[in-house]
Amino acid sequence: MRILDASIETVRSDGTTRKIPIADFYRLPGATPHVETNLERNELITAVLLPAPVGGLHVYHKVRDRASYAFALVSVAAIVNPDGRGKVALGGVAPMPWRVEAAEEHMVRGAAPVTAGVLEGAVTTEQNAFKFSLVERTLAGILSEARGSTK
Amino acid sequence: MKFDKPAIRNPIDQLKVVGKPTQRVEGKLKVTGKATYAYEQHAAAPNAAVGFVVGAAIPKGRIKSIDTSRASASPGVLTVVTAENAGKLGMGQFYKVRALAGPDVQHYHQAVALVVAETFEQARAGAQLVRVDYERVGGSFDLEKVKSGESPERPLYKEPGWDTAVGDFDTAFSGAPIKVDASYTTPDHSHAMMEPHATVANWQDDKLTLWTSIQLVTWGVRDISLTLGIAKENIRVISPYIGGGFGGKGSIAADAVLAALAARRIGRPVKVTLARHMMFNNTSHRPATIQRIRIGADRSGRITAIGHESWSGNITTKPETATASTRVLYAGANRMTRLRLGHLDLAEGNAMRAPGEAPGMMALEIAMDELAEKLGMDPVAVRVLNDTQVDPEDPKRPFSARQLVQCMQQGAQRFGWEKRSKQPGRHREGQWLIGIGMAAAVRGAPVVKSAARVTLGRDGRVTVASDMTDIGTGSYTIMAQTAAEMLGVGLDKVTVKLGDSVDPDGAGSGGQFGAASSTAGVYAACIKLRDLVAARLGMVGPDIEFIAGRVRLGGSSRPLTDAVVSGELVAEDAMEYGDLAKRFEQQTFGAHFVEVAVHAATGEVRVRRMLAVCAAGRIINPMAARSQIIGGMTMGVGAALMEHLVVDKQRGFFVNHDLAGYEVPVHGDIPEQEVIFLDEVDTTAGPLKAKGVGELGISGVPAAIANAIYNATGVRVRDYPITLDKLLPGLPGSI
Repeated sequence: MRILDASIETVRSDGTTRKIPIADFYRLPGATPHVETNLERNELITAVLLPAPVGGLHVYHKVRDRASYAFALVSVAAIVNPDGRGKVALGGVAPMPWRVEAAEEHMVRGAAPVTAGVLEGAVTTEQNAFKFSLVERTLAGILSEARGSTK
Repeated sequence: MKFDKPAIRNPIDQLKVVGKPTQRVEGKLKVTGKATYAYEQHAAAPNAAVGFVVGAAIPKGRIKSIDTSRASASPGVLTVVTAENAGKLGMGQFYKVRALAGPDVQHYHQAVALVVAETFEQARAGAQLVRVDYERVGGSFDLEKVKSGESPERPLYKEPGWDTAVGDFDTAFSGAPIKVDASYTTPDHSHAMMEPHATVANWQDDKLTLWTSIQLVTWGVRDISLTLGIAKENIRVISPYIGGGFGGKGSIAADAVLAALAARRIGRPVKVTLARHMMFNNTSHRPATIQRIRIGADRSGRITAIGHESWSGNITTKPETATASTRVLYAGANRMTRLRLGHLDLAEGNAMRAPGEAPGMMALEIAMDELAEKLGMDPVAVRVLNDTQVDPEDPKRPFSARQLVQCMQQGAQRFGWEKRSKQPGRHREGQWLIGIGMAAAVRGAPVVKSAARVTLGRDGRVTVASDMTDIGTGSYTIMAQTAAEMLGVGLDKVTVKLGDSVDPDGAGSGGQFGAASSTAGVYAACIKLRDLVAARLGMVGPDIEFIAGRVRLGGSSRPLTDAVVSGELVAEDAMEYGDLAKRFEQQTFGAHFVEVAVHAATGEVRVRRMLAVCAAGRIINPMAARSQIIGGMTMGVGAALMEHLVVDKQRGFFVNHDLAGYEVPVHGDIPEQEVIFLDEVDTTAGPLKAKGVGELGISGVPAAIANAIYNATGVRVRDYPITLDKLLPGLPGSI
C-alpha cells in the first residue's frame, strides 16, 4: 500500500471525515513511542483507497527464518516496470513502512544503489547489522525475478 | 522377576498384538476432551481456589522486604504464600533449585510468592499488588566469558568420570595426516511443551494429594516428601495424562510445592499453573554448550584419534554431557573426552530430550561431515569405515545390537543419496540452492526397575495398573499390548490405569527408558498371573499357551475365564536387571537424511524432505514409535534452525520467554517425513527385546540439516541455530 500511494479514509466521532495519504499516516516514535499513527482520538478508519492498477510486476517478499507465524526480519515490497524503473518500500527496518522515493531513481542500476539510498543514515547494532545486506539481497532477488519474468 | 540373561523365546514372540501398528487406546478420550489433565480435576477436587505465581524480578540477590498487604486485601484473595510464612522447605533430589525464593533469590522468575484467590483473575490481579524490595547482586550469565576465564589458577568445575582417555590422543592427533579441529556452539533450549506445569493440591488431615503434570510419579512422591518434610505414605501423586514433558517435568516443580503449601494454609484445594511466560525462566532448560572436536584420520579415512571437549554452565553441579555419543559412535584407538562446568546464575539446566546426545551430536556429526570433506570421501562411506561392533573404550564389550551401517546404507538408497552433488553449492532450482545432508544417530537404551499389577476380573477383563506415566508417548497402548499378548486376549479386553502413586512403582517417562522398562514390568506381573491361572485350572506345564481367550496345555484347552469363576486373580511384580548392561553396550541407532532448500538471496532455509532409518530393538507399536521419531525429527528442525533462548547478559535472564519469541517449528516448516524401522530384536534389553525410541528421533537431526545446508550453499555454520544472518556473508553474489 505504501508504494501504491494508498490513502486512508477516516471518520471522527463528530461525523467529519478526512483522507490521509499513507505517507503521512505513520509516525516515528520520537518522544511518544506509544503513538504509532496520526489518527486522532475518536477517529476510525473507514476505508483504504488504492489507485487503479498501475502495471508492472508487483512483488512482496517477507523474509523470516520460520516459514510461518513469525515477524519479518525484513520485508520488501516492489513494483518493477518493464523498463526497469519502479518503486520500493521496506518492512522490518523501521517502526513504520520505510520508503525513500529519491532512492527509487536508481532502480535501473540495481539493488545496491537503491538499498544505499533507502537505508541512508540507518543506524545498526551488532544484532541487526545483517539487515542491510538482507535488504539488498532480497531486492536483488526481486529484480532478478522481474528480469526473468520479462524475458 | 530378575532379567539377568539374554531373553529366549517367550509368549511375546507370538506377536499377535505386540509389534502391530496400534492406535492409542486412550486416543478417543483425548480427541473428545475427556482426558482429564492436571489442571482439569474439577470433579476430583471441586471448589479449588486458584494460585498465581509471582516471579523474581532480579536474577540474583536478596529480598529485602516483601509487602503483601495490598494483595491480601484485594478482592477474592484468600492467602499469599511467601518464604516468610511457608515454613522450612527441604530440597528434592532431581531439581536442585528452590521452588520458593526468599530471602535469597537464585535466578530470575524464581517464585517469590503465590497469590491465592477465588478466581484466576482475582489471583492475577492480586499478584500485581505484591511489592518486593530487592537487593540485587552481580551474577554470572555469560558462558563464553566463564569458559575464557578458565585457567590453571581458576579451573572450572569437574568431577571424576567427566574425563575419559584411551590410548594417547595428543600424540595420535598431532601425527594424523588428516585433521579436523573445530569449535561448535549450541544455545540454551526450552522444552516448550504444550501443557504448562500444573497442579491441583488437596489435603485431608495430614494426607496430601497432588494431581500434577509429571513424568516420574515416584520421583514426585520422593521430592515432595523431602521438600515439605512429610512422610511418603501421606502423599499421593496422580498424573493420568500429560501434555508433553521432554524432561521439563521430571519431578515436582514450583507449581506443585506452592499449591501444596497454599492448600494447607487455606484448608481447601488449590490449583496452580505456570503462565506460559513464566515457564522459560522459572523451570529448567537444556543448557548451552561450547564444544571443541578434534578428529585425526589416516589417508584411507580411518579415525586414529578422536577428542571431544564440552563446556556448559549451570546454577547446579550438573553438566550437559555432550561428549556421551563420541564415546561410543566411532572406532579409533586414541580417544579423549572432557566435560567442564562453569557457574551461571540462570534458571536450572537439566534434562531435555536426549540430554547429552542431542547437543553433542549437533557438533560431532558436523565434524564427521568436515572429516569426509577433508578426506574427499563420501560422508556415509567415512562413517561406515569407522563403524565398530565393540565398545571403543573397552573392546571386550560388544554392542548388544548395532545396525548403524545398515541404517545408513538403507537410508542412502531410499533417500536418493547418490543424487547429492559432491561439490557444495552446485544444485540450483531458480533462486533456491538445494542440498542433501546426513548424520548418524545414537542414543543409549537404558532400562530401569518397573512394577505393575495385573488383575484378571471375573468378567474376563484384564486391568493393568502402574504409576508409569504416558506423556503423549503411547505408554497406555504398549502396556495394553503387552498384557494382551501375555494373556492371549484382545486389546479390547484390557484396561490400563497409569500415573497414580498408589499403584506399583513404574519406570516413569524419561531417558528413553520408559517403553522397554514399563512393558517389562507388565511382562513380569503377567508371568505371575499366568502361574496363578495355571494353578487354578490345574494346567501346569512349561508348554502352556494363552491364545485367543483360551488356555492350552497338551491336548486340553479351556476358556481363560474358567480361572476366575471362583474370584478374580491379582498378580504384582517388578522387573529388575542384572549385569547385562555392563556386559553389553546397549544403544539405539539411526541415520537421518535431509534435503533443504536455501534461498540464494535471503538465506532462508526450508527443509524439504526428511528420512530416519532406525534400529532400536523390537518396535512394540510401530505407529506410536513412528510418531515418537517424527516428533524428535521436528524438534531437531527447531534445534537446527530456530530454537534459541537468548540470554540478556546484563539483566541475567532468557529474554524470549514466550512462544512468539522462542520459535519452534510450525506446520509450514515441516515437510515430508518418513521413518523406517529395521527388523531387530535385542535379547539383552528385556523380555520384550525392545528398546525406547523417544530420544533417538532428535539425535543427529540438527547436524544432518546443517550438513545439508553446507551441501546447498558451501557455508559451514558451527553456531546453532542456523539462522539466515549467519549464511548471508557466504552466499553467492549473483542472485
